[in-house]
Amino acid sequence: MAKKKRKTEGGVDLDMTPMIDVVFQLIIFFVVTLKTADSINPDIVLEYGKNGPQLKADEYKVPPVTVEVKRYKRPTDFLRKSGSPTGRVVSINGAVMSLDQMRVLLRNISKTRGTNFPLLIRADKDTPHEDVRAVMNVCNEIGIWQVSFLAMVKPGDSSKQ
Amino acid sequence: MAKKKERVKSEGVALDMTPMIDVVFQLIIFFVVTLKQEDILSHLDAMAPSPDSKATPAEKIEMVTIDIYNPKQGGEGFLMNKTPVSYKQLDSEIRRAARNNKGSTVLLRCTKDSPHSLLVKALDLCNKYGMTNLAIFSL
Repeated sequence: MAKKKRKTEGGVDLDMTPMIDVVFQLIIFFVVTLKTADSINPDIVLEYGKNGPQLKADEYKVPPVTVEVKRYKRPTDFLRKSGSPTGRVVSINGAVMSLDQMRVLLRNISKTRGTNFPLLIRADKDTPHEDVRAVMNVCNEIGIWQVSFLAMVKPGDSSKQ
Repeated sequence: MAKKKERVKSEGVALDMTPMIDVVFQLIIFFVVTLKQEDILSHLDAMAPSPDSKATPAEKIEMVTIDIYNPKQGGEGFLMNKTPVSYKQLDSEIRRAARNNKGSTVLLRCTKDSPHSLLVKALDLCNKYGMTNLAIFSL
């Protein structure tokens, strides 16, 4: 009887190596594809614009600079973290700055890269035109002419609508 | 004796994989849950490059004027050649203008308090019908 028991124990033995291999492959895949959304302003909701050319990662020879604009009426977590008051908020890569600071930054970029780089304006759909115009005026001053507005073709999971 | 030795050996190398697999599955669940799909975006050119100097200027410059204002003042926020229009009407008007001459200039005049969404909508329609000569002004 004791011998029989041993046999059944041997029968349930399963080779776990391939399973663990697959599982580790999955983990590596998810770690690699995971993108943190810290570099953008999460409060900005874009207007739909499905007829514009779709933005692709390899579209530009020179990496574009994205300027974000939103008019805040009440404080949010993003504002609290950045320590900025409500009103017009301009940010680049999630860093909130004044228009003067943005001007200095863009001027420094244009000194090294020239003015021939694309600038994408990621403005919230409810932002009044004067705030967007203020950013465009700075671009005009520096001589940045490749200015485009970002619009949404299809929202991802992260979009809060 | 021989039997005893064999049994001890085989038990010694057996590893309990259950906790490891548990942890691995926890990790998978964590990454699946925290994974965020990116938005698919488009870009609408706001400032077109200056026209080629070799190109001969058209004798008569055709112009389409779209005024964009805050819809709180009434209407949907669009004026096409100074006539209030809805978004649908604007669509058909731009389509008609593009059929006449795709190269005509679209003048987009925005009031200070007009929402950015309306400008994007108008630019999107211009893109839809291939009107690329755009000029954005502020009122």
